[in-house]
Amino acid sequence: MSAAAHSDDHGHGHPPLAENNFMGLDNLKLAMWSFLGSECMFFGSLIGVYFFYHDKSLAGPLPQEIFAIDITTISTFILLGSSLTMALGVDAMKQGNRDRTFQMLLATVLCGLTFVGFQVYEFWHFVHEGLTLSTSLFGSSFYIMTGFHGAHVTVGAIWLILVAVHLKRGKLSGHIPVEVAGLYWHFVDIVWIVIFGFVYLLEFAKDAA
Amino acid sequence: MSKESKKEHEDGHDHDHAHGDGHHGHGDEHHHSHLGLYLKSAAVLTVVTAVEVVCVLPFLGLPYEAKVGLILLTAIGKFAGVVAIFMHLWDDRMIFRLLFVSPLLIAIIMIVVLRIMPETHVNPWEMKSVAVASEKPVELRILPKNEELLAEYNAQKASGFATGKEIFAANCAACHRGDGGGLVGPSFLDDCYKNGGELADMYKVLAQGVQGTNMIAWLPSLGVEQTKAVTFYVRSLRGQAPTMGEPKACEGEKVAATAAAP
Repeated sequence: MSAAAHSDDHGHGHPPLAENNFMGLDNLKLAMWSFLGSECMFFGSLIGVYFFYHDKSLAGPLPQEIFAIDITTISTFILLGSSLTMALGVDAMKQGNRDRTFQMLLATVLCGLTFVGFQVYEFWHFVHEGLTLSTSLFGSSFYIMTGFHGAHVTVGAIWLILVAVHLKRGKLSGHIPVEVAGLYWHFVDIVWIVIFGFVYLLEFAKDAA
Repeated sequence: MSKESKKEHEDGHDHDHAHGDGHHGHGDEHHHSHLGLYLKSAAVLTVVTAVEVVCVLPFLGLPYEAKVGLILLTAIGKFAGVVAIFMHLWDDRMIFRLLFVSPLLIAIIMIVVLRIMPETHVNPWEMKSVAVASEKPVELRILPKNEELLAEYNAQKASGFATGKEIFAANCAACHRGDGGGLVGPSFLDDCYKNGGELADMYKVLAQGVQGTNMIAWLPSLGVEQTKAVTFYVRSLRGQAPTMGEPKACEGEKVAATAAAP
């Protein structure tokens, strides 16, 4: 954001450059990218622990016995689709098309909540198959990893709803709040890209071996 | 697409690239729409994911190594694509790239190290299960049904459970005392059980151990038949008179005397 544009937004008397800018960088974006860097470490450790433990369970059920490729593939496409609607929403916001932005935000929230719905169903199904958080090393590491991802999607959906409400009330001055929420949303999507490939698909690759 | 960008100029005051260094089309009076790029990227992501799923499913018959390579490549490609295009890291400021990519590299190194680390770092309790898991995966982990155990118990009753008695003396007596009266571990002479008094419950404790106690998993070293033999012998101790002094006091829940096998 330019310094001049924001000197009139807040009458704090601070030098305008120090308010929302640091070395010419937008503070919100800087904070979000730093946060996403730390999130890489967070999910990196959860995924690493899963890799380390998932094949060392003493008690069943095992991953290949309960993973359902069809359902997980559908929910993966839904989450990928939400990344597109999110990107389109940010794009529309950058051009000042607020109605389009609002629609795209709602579409993204809808996709995100559908994904969470699929995950709730999946967990419910797994528990009925006998896999709980304390059943085995696979159970613990799987639920912690995918559960935290699902929690991130949920938080993202709530965040986007708030952004959409602010947008509708005309309280958003620029595109940055939408763009930063979008960065978070895309990050949650790429975490799922990794989990879908290395956790789910890898189990099905083993079948032929 | 660019017609939309000219439609409204009220947001034109708000640009993040006001400082005029390397950027592509962002610092202008208005933003160019990336609609076409986003749609193309999403189409590519969808197709790549579909191809990935189809190739991994068994009916194409690809070798395991090819599948793993494919998953690795597509995951990296999709990851990079979303970050570069949807998140704009490709043409955004260098500091954002550094902030994101450096922890990402550390995370990747950590995952790789965890994957290739020698397994001597696993605790001994788990090491036993690792050995079983790799040799005989499913059979050893499926627990027998209580009715099956009950039938076998009744069939072997006449033999006096000699095999179980022998194994018990060699492996279990150290913690549970020679007559089963209990030392570190609980007594088997009373009607009290910490993890259930049915044969299936006792088999499970023997087979998998009890985490947080000294009771280790015995299935890996004993195998199914011997684990059953010990289960039956331990069950037969219930209600026997102690021969080595006062037994350990009741631990766990008292089970109705008629609930289990005769």
